[in-house]
Amino acid sequence: MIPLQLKVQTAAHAEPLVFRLRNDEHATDIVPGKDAFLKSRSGNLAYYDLDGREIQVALPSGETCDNDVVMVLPGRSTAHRLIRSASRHNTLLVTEQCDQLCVMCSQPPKASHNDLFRPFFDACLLAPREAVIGISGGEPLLHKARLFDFLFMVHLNRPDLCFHILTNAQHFEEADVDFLRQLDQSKITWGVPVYASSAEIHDRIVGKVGAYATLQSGLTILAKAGARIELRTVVLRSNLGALGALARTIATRFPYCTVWAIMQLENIGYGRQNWQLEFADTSTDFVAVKAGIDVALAFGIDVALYNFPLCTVPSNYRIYCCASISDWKQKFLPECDHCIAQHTCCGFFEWYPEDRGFERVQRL
Amino acid sequence: MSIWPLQFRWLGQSEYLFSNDSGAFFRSDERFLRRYTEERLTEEDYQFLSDHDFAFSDVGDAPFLGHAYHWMKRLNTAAELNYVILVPTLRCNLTCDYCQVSRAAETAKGFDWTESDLNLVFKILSEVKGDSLKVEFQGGEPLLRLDLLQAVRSFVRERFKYAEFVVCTNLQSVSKEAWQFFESSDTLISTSLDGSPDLHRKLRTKSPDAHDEFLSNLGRAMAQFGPERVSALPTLDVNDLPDPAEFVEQYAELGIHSIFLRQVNYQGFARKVLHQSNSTSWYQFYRSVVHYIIEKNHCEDLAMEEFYLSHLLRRVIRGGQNNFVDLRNPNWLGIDYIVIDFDGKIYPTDEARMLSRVRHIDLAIGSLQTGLDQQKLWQLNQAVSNFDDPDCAHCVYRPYCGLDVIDDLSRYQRVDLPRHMTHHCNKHMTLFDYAFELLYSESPVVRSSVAKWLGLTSLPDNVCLVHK
Amino acid sequence: MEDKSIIEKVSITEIYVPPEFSEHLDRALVRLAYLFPEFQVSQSDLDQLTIRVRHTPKLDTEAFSRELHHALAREKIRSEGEPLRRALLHSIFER
Repeated sequence: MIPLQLKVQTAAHAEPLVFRLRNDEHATDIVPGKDAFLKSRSGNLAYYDLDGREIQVALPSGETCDNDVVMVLPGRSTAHRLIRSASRHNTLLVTEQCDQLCVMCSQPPKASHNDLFRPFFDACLLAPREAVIGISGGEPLLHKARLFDFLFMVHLNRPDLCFHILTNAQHFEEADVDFLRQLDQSKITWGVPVYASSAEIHDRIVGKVGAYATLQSGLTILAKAGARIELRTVVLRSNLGALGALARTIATRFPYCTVWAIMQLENIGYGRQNWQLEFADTSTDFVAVKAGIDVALAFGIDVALYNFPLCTVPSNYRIYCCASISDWKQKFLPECDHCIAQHTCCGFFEWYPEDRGFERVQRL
Repeated sequence: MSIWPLQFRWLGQSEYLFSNDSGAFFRSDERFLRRYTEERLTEEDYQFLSDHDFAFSDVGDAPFLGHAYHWMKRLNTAAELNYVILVPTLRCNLTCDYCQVSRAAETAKGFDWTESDLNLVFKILSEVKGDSLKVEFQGGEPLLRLDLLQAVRSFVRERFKYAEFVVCTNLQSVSKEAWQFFESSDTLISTSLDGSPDLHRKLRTKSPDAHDEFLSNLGRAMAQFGPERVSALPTLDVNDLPDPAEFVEQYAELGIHSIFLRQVNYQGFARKVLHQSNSTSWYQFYRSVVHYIIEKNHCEDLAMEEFYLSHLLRRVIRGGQNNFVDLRNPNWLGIDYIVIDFDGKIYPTDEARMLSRVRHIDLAIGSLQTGLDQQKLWQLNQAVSNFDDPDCAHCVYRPYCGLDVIDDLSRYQRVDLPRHMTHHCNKHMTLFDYAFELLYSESPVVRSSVAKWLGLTSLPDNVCLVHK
Repeated sequence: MEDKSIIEKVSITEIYVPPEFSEHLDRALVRLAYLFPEFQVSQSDLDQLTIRVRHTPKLDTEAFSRELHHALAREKIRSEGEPLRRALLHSIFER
């Protein structure tokens, strides 16, 4: 597993420190006050100079972290690797608060909130060109005004950056359409979960009565704003039989979505607690997922399979699979040795339970 | 609850097909029609209509927006010029019986673009605002002026970010340079392959040697470039139709899986036409071919198709498909697509060019020298959409269909005839009837082919709705 | 010269029109007139609820009634759908 936090030592500071690690002092794109230059190394300990401030960082083995953007909170001895320059998978956790309690939640909610939008803004300005940055939580839109300010300001300064924002679409209002249209919506993908077209099933899965109704109006608001929408459905025993009906509803009622991502369960957070109850072994029974895919494709809806290892999917549906598991939490199994498809496969989550997971895993 | 207005078509017995303007459809019966028009819908009716978004509660709610989006997706919005048909020469090395354009002899003079014409073509293309262009070379026989094809292709590749080329050639005489020209992956070949070998020879190639040469070239093209880059289209004589099975097998043997059944358009020819081109014999042949294809697909696990039928099915289920310019709504003329003839005249469609040659009708919309005749275009474009046509407005197939101003003008010299009196409408009513018959078929063999034509592995049960 | 046209028997059949369609009858009749020029259809002088069909040889009453009902239904649906069509266009093209 790739560490997202590094041990650091530096003199006390009152505000969060956001800076970029640079190995090359002669780089031409230096941002004064934000770039920390490597002065010396001793084993895995690296010493940086950030405009006179000395910072000692314990680098992970095998990585240089060159051009990584990190954040050190006051009084802490860890640096959060907010943006790893060599990775396509960088996500900013903007809050841990949430108004839903999804049965498969990988990031169970907390009551407190730490506003880090200003350091996140600083970090984005240091990101590599055309980086794709995830925005996640909890529910990011619980802090809608701050989030919108953040998006607008980053867009103004770094129009090349793209965002992938996960949201339950419970907090949009008609008045938001005007603001959203000011953003470059071609640079933002809104990832919105929907678990069933039955309000009863969806509400039960997300743990909030009325969620489905509000979700629908949220989606219409995003549509009016010209947003790119990635509808996301985690496959669970609770919604397996309803995938075909959901597919038809998406095709009829939300045809403007850019893609429908059908996802396998992640064994972390509530997903781990509810694994036995909710994990659906699609390697032995793909019928329900196939029904959903076929209906969506029939009506011209683009489909993607996230977190489905290639060998667990019938061969003629493998083209919909994506390398969807973030590099830092990805692993492969012994069965994967010599598999010819390893480089395109999403692999498994770091915390995938081999004893309770897919029955059919084999190298291709 | 507001129900989007429904169009309907009687299917015989007590069966009806219903659709609304977004293209959503379902089958039901006469009693439902009566309940609907007499405003005594039942709870089950409302439940069905609401469940499948044939109705909405509030303007702007989720079902409303979904319907609006589908409606909008079926519009052919006017785009920048992105498709040109270029006719660099009218000369041809064959003398096909039914040639629609009265080609000129191979040695004739004065039937090619001049240097000045070529420069004017470059000028027009350089003024295009978009960044993509599809160029189709027609003729005569375009390969007789390979130099002009090369000049245009180089220019377009340089000027446009996305470029695609199609050469419509008889593949009779293909030089080494021409084969090299075809090698680029952005260049496609379209050729003719009529009925049976005998028919093809009778109408087109004439001599056995010439026919062999053609077949050899076609075989080489298929082997070298594959069916993705080579298409072969028949032009069929309704008075001399081949045996459906032999006909399909001829294509299958060559590895060509998409067959576009087209009739010779006899307008303007001196000889009398005994059969209407919408004759029952044509549609019997059509159905036989499709039926044969369905059986063959099942037995041999293939995905052969009749191109136009597949196109209609995709328009029904998905909307869009506006790249095929013959059927779009509104079917804008002279806006995103033009035809530039060997003499510099500009036409709105290739049919318009061909019909202007053989009939006493002038469908040109301008020329390289004088530019586009905006007044004429404006007039033509008054009649290109079917939304408010007094007949189309009531038609169950309206969302999937479109008007053909050129066809109406050339046949009837007017565009305002009641739809059911036009060839275009009758043809499409018949074909859409057939398409829906196949969509609602319960035969697994039929469903398997329909699925393949839609690019699916199987056709889900809930794609086609029935309300009883 | 003798008029060679055959004097044919002309019949008149009356068909009842349900009241909910009466306001759409005019438009339906216009359409029927060009769809079926072999028939002459007019409203009854006596009341609004019947139409008279003037025809030669036997009229297939069932078939014609169906065509009449369809024409009436279509005019009614089209007319009553006008506000919804406007709402649709307004929502798409406004702003």
